[in-house]
Amino acid sequence: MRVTFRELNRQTQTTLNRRYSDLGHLEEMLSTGKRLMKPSDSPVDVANDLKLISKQQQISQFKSNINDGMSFMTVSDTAMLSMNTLMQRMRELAIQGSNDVLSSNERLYIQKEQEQLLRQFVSLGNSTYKGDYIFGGTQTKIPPLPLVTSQSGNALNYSSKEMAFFDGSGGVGVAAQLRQADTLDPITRIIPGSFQLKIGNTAYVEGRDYTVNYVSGTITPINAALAVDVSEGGTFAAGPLGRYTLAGFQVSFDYISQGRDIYGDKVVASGDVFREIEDTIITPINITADELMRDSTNGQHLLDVAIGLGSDLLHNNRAGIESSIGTIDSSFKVLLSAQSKNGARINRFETTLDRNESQYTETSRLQSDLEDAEYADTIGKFSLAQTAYQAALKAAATIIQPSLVNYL
Amino acid sequence: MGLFSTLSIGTRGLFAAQLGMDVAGQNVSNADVAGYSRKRLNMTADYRADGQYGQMGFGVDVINIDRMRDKMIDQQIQRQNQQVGSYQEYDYTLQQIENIFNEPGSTGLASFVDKFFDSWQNLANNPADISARTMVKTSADIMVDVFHNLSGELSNLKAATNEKLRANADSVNELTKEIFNLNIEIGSVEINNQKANDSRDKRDGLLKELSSLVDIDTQENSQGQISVTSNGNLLVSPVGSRDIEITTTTFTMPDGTQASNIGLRFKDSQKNYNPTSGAINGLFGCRDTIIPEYEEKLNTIAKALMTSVNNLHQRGYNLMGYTGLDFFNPNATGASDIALSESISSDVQNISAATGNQAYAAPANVFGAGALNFGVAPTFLSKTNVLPAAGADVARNVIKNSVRMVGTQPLTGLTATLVENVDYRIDYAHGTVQMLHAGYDGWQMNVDFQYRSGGFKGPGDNTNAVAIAQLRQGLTMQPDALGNPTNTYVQYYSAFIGHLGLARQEATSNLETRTFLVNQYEKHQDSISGVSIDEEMADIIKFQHSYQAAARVISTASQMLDYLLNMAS
Repeated sequence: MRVTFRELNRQTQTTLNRRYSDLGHLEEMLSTGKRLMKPSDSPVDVANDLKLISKQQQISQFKSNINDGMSFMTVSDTAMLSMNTLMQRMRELAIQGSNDVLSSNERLYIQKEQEQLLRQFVSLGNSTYKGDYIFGGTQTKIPPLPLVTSQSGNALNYSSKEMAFFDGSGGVGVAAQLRQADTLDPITRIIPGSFQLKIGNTAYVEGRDYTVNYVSGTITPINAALAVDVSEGGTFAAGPLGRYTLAGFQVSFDYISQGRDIYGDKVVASGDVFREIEDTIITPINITADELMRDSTNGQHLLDVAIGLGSDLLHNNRAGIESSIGTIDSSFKVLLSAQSKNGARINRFETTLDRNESQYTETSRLQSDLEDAEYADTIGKFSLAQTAYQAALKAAATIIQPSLVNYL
Repeated sequence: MGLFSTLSIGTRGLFAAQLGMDVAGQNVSNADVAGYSRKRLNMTADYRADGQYGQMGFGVDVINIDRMRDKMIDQQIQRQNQQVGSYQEYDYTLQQIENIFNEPGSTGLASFVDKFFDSWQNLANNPADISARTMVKTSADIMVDVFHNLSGELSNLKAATNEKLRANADSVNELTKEIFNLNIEIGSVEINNQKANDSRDKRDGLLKELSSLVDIDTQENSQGQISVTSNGNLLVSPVGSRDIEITTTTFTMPDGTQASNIGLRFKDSQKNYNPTSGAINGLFGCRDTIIPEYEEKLNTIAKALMTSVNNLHQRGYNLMGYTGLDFFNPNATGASDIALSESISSDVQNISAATGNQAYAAPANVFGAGALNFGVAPTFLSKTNVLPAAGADVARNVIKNSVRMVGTQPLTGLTATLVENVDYRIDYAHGTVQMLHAGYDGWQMNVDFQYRSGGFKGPGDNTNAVAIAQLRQGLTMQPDALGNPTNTYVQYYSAFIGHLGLARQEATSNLETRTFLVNQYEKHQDSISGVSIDEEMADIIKFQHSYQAAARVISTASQMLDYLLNMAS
């Protein structure tokens, strides 16, 4: 074949261009460290790479879900541990209080300590994590055990919504339910030792004039003066039940209430709070107040047990105190089982976290295999391409230069 | 026969050698001109009849100056060049699309979709937290922007393709005009049996250029003039060239915006012109097939995201305990107009992370005559048949399309089913009904509906946020024959990006193959028509020597004549 100057020129240009673009591609690989720059570099690898990137992102999100869930459960664990200690002390107090030789006054002292334990227990039940009530189920913005307290030194202890009354018209010796004035809801779980009743300047004394069932919130009049329908300050003179007013009636107490949701319905602390910790694996992380305190076999509630003990101490009821040791033990079991449930979950999260980390490492490795340029290999190729380019340049320079003209 | 004829033979030799020198000189000086074909001097030994000896030499005769070129190769080049032109456009467009999607990388759509779902996971960890909610909204905003941007870039690419088509149509017109002019020039030269070598070189160059734009077939007549046809349409004939012109069609896109495409037709016949190959064909293909394919896929993802997130979100409950809210604007048509719904963009508390109970059917609400009159303040629907006195009885979260309102005219007993949003309006979140005109004043109304009220599990419930976050790995795309989705977003998207990569690879390799073929043919043509300096130098020496020799013949003949004349004196 006849080879001409023009053809040689074309060939030289094509070859140099190709070598130079090879060099450019390798240079890009070296400077970015990536093998895949655009989909057409390797369509299948890019498609897999995209899936891996998303997978990896997901795994690292699961990791933060796990960590967040673990902190949540650790806070629960700490709270439950303190509850456990409180219960132990309460049990000791019950044993102490059941001692035959104690006087009623001595039992009152024990009751004072037990009351503080009870209050502390309630406040632990309202523990929060990042501003959310951890034992509140999905109602994280409403305390599961709202403690409504009297304001000391103020005769009108309750806002109008929280005013209370009871209908003692049943007579002496008949228990009357204490109710909330606005909703007529029964008031239960009164903190023993916090109850005071006055009419005008006359203070009425529990045991002499009335008795209180702190668990169910009923008042049984002993003094006939209380065997009437009493409510506060005349507010309910024309109330829906046709109550009349006992002038100067004042009652003050602290009790464990129940929150209301945005619909105005009473909130039961229930519902699971979930974390997705692995692909499609969604586990609850919360213990609800009910799980913590209600014995599902007999419906017995830890708060009722503790209030019952306090009430027995207050009422100097030795037999009641003695029998409460058994109920405290069974409530203890409920608390312990909630604790171990939480502990098992923490363990599970820890093992999942281990797996999550190894998954992350594995996908990172796979992704790096797919996406990253192998330096040694690329540098090798680069110097090869460089040599090829230089050789092409040299060859072109040598061959294009001379022609017959140079020799004439 | 005499010495004068010897002188004449020498003169012809001189003339031929000089002409040869001229051709060699022309070749050398045009060695670098693109498309130049090397010329060759065709000579033959001239003779005359001699009575005594038969044929007798009469010196050299120059037949013509011919160009060295293989027409068949030119046609091959034209054929492959059409493909090069077409694949060049495909390759360029696909490269642009690759650049637009910018995968794999941290700025591609995939990473923003991931971030969107991450933000839902984060919300699931803190369902009541306003900042987690704001993060969901922000990441959704960014993702929506990315969709808009991608869709905008694709339609810009389309517009650029239209512009290129316009420019190429102009080039075709110029080229055909010039080819026609050269046809005339060649015809007028070659009618005298001469070779229009340089005009032909020029015409071959233009044909090559034209072939990169449109498919062409050429036919040459006896005068050396060619007819060029493209997809069965005459572009150039010996008598003229046909202009093409641009038509513009405007249409409305699904999202309501106006767009226009340009088409080509012949100015004289008004017949549409669609080349089957070449850059113009490539541009049409890119604009009508390639770009819409990726637009369609992007829209599919946007729509799937929109509907699957909305479906779950509607079932969820917001922080205020209302349900049935959309996350994305349900009226959007695709990637170009995907947007957050009014309720989400106005208040992040409307993001529904919680779940609630199933729907309840309420006992029919009966409104006595006049209770629902036009101009009366919105009236509450109630869960029971008692008009709500306290808030708790209000049937909040009425389910869309579940309301049926039948009116009865108390006097005539006439009944009618009322039309929603024409006769009455329901506030679904708050559970109220309001009349829209006075036509039914005084009627008794019977309202049936379903509601979800009261099911809100509380601000700490993250079930719906988890469910939405799970859409990332859920099957949402590409329904099979039974309508069940078979792919996740990332599977669909990565397949789509893989497909893009393959398409580009295919276009590039086609382009490289065709370019290689064109190069091979050109190389071949060069080996025939290219100027070799060495050859020309050798020729120059050859002709120099021929010239000297012919001159020696003349001078010798002249001396012989001298002897003869001196003899006579």
